[in-house]
Amino acid sequence: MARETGKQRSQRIQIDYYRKKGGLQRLKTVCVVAALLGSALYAFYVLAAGGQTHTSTGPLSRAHAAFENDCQQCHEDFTPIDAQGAKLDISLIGINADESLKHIETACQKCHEMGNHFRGVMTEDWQRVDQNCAGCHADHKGRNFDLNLIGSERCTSCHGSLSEGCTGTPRVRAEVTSFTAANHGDFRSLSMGDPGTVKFDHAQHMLPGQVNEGEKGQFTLSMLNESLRARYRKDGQADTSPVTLDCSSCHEMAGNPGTSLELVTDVELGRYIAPISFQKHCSACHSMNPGIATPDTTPLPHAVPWSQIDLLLEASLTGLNASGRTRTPRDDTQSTPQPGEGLGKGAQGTVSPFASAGDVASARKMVQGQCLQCHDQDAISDEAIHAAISNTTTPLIPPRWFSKGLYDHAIHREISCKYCHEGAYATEIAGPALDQESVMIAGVESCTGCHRDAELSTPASLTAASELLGRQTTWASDNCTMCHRYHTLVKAEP
Amino acid sequence: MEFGRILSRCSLFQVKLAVLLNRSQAKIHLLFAIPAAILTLGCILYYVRECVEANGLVGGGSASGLLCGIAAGSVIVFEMLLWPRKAFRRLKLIPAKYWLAAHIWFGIASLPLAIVHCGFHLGGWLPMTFMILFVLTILSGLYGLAVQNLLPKWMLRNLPSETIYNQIDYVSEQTVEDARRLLVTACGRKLTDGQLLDEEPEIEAAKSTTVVVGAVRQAGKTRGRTLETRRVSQAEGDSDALWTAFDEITPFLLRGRQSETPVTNQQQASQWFGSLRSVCGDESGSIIDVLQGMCDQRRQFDIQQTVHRWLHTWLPIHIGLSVAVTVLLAAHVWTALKYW
Repeated sequence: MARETGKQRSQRIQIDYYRKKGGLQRLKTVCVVAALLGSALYAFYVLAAGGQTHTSTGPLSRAHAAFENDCQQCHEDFTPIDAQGAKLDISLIGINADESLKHIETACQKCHEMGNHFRGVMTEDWQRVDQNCAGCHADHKGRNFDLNLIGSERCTSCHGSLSEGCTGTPRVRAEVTSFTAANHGDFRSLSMGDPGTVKFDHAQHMLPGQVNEGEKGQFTLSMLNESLRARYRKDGQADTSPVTLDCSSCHEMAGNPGTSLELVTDVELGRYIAPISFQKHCSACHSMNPGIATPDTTPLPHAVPWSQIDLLLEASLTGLNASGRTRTPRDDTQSTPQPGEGLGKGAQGTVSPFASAGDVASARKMVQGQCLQCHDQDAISDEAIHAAISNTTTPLIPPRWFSKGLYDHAIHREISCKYCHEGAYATEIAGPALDQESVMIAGVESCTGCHRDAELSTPASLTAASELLGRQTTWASDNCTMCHRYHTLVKAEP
Repeated sequence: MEFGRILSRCSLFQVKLAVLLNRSQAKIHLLFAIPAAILTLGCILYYVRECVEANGLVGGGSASGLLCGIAAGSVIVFEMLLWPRKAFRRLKLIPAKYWLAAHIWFGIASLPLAIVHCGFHLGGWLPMTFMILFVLTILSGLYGLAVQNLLPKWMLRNLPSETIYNQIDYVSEQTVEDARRLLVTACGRKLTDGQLLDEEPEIEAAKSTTVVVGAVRQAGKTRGRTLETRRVSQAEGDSDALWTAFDEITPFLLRGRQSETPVTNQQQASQWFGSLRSVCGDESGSIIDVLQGMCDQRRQFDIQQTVHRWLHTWLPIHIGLSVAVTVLLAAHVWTALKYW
């Protein structure tokens, strides 16, 4: 019998089996070589063959899309522009926060010339926050990312406690934590009063004929210059009808070309109400001229130096004398004499046609009387007029009531004016014009009803005012940036 | 002796002890899992704090994001040190089980660190490619960890005939030779055209009354197929049937399921051997048992080949991905600092 020996049995496994490279080993080699080659080629492409855009952390926003392939427009090698990275000081690799922040500002301001945010009254830490544009406007978050969509929490992180980083005394409010009457405070204008000096009575102007109901002396369309009547004529009114004004007679949306709202942009332009213009909004009824008794007399210009008025008065009077159209003593077409005329002062053929200094002074006095119907004495001095012409003084009627906030009248056009300006809706003339002494806007509660936290239900005040609100939605964002802007103008830097 | 030797060379015993997640290895794993968890939690807490201060998610450029990135990058570099360590294993720097445990736990920790580093944002092509490859690397590693813990145990229970993977073909040839010798011994030579009568092995086999065949044995909880010497009964009466059966099963014994034979399918094989028994005498029963056992062994080899691929193919992929991740890490570090 031949039993198998131990040696023969051991030969059932090849003694050098472990040296043989199987498929697994070959696969390993293939994987390593392929990975090494593939990744190295890709890295080479990114680093040295024009693939630098592959290093981007995401597409740029639409506003910066033009720089998608031009990193150097914003980036400087090894200088952080990242919102958080720019705050780091890592001397080991040459990263310096001051240099980084300076670079960010410089890079942004190449295109966006913006002033800082009252940096002069900030602590050093807060100044760095202000310098760090990327803190609020971080890009590379997608083509449709809105760089200006800044959450309120970014604002309240500082304005929640201004004393922590403000070296001065906050001028408006030291703590604003949310948009409620309690946490935001009311509008500054309401506590400061109306700085305007133009005497005006909204109640009188809103009454038909500008007199109380039943009173005589209505101002009718026939009293207006014929060319202006169409503008003030309501449907179905005759020349004998009383002039009936409404808000839009004097308050027009800025940029809105009349009533031809054919394009959306026309509406968008109407964010603000255009300033009141004497020529456009007042002169139809309050025309200044030296002789309105004659239909072809030339109105005097508004807000020009007195020397020009004097010259025009003199020329007008001389012209009237020379043409023999000066009023005669028996001429009672008007109960009130016009500037320079004087009752009973008829032109005589033996009298020189040239207006005397006394006539001109008398006429000027009458013109000043017209001015003082709306203005005070200070406002009609030559100095004040020169300042107004050169835009070096504050307007006599404040153009905006929100000194720190924005309001878009166009967006809110569905809401009745009365909802916010109820003071202008008095129903009778109560006494002398005093509207210049009160701010005719509603308080912050008129905003917080709609502009509230999304989780809060509609307040009862909105339901009660549904008629005034019209079709306007009753919820809107309470984000700070709805009404406020962060950057100051470069000129306004403190 | 053969039993232990064979088993010690099987993949079951080649599994590194440190890869096993069981009580016996708990201390080694905790030694690295705890520091890895502390590192990760510490970095994440720092990141969360910075996010709270910034009122939003901060990215890799922030102090905490940068810290997480440096930690994750360092881990990647450390993980790759396993390669040179293996190359210089003769230096016996640190036992492999420690290396592997650290490799596992710091590798796992690096994923959350990397995710935090990128601010939960994939970014552009390079960071995105880098991140995807990195995640795939971690996933392939986790897969490897899972299969290395599960499949060997399964193989131990279900594949007692397991042999060294790259010796399957060689062992299969041996099995065919064993079967042939068995039949020569039991039935005599099969004379075919052109076959010489005086071939030495045939003569020797014909003289022998014993053959060496595989048999399953159990030692404790471990079962394995070992070799044993069996006395062979004479079955000259069934010579034709047995040699015919041998011819039919030989392709299967050599190539496994790649061949189409009556015994390729296990159910069909049972029927086929049943019918073989019915045409053969009782004295051939033990021989048919041996042949059937050889087919079962070959079937297990097939399963072993499949399981072996599941068990080991992840590693080349894991290594390849790791290499790519390391190269892209270098590119990412450079570009991230340049365009920070």
